[in-house]
Amino acid sequence: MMTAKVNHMKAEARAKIARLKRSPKYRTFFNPEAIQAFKKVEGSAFAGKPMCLRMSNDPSPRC
Amino acid sequence: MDKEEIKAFQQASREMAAEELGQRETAYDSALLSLQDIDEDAISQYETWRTKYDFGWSRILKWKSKPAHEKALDIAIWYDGSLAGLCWASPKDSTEKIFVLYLERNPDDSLLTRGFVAPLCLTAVRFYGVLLDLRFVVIDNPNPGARDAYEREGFSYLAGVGLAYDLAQDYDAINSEENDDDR
Repeated sequence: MMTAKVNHMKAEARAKIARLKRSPKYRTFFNPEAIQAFKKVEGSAFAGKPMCLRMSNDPSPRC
Repeated sequence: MDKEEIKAFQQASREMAAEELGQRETAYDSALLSLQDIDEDAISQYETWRTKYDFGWSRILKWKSKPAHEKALDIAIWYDGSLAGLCWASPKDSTEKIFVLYLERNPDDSLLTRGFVAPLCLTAVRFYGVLLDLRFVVIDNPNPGARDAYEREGFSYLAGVGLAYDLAQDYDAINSEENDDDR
């Protein structure tokens, strides 16, 4: 029952996003220039304040 | 808004972000790409990343069950069985903004997904923001080196808001599409 309700609401949500994507005014985030720019970013974090920064890339221990 | 509706919005946002990339010409096999919620498997793989950052991703597993984080969107990007990226975004107490609080890619520079993780997550957050009727997607503590990339996506520094994407342009697009349908 709960799954059916979620699926129904999901279908409505998908329809709203589909309307957005169909519009000639829609501007995708998957443009080649942006993808290249993100590829060139130094480091693997794009947003957020880390709890700590390690000097090395050793995965352990976490802080 | 009840839990089922939030869950439906989260699933739709993740799915349609992955589908959009799949519809574009890339070196990817779209069948191997999926956007999921952050679960134990994602955290297990994350623990093997050789990253200098520690965002405390394992905390997300506890946060997800708390009412204060009910509307947060968690994203784990998987490609061919490997964890390619993680994202945590939340409106917190705002009625007009969703904040991208943490966004990190797999630090293995040889992965095909390197340049796609941020656009994938930002697309899902953007869709989710539209479904929640919010106004801005705001990047919390952006990596200064990524400023050019964010600006290429249409983000800009707005006074009193921060580095943000204004969803008003997306609502214009939806309304324009609906008006076209009416004709």
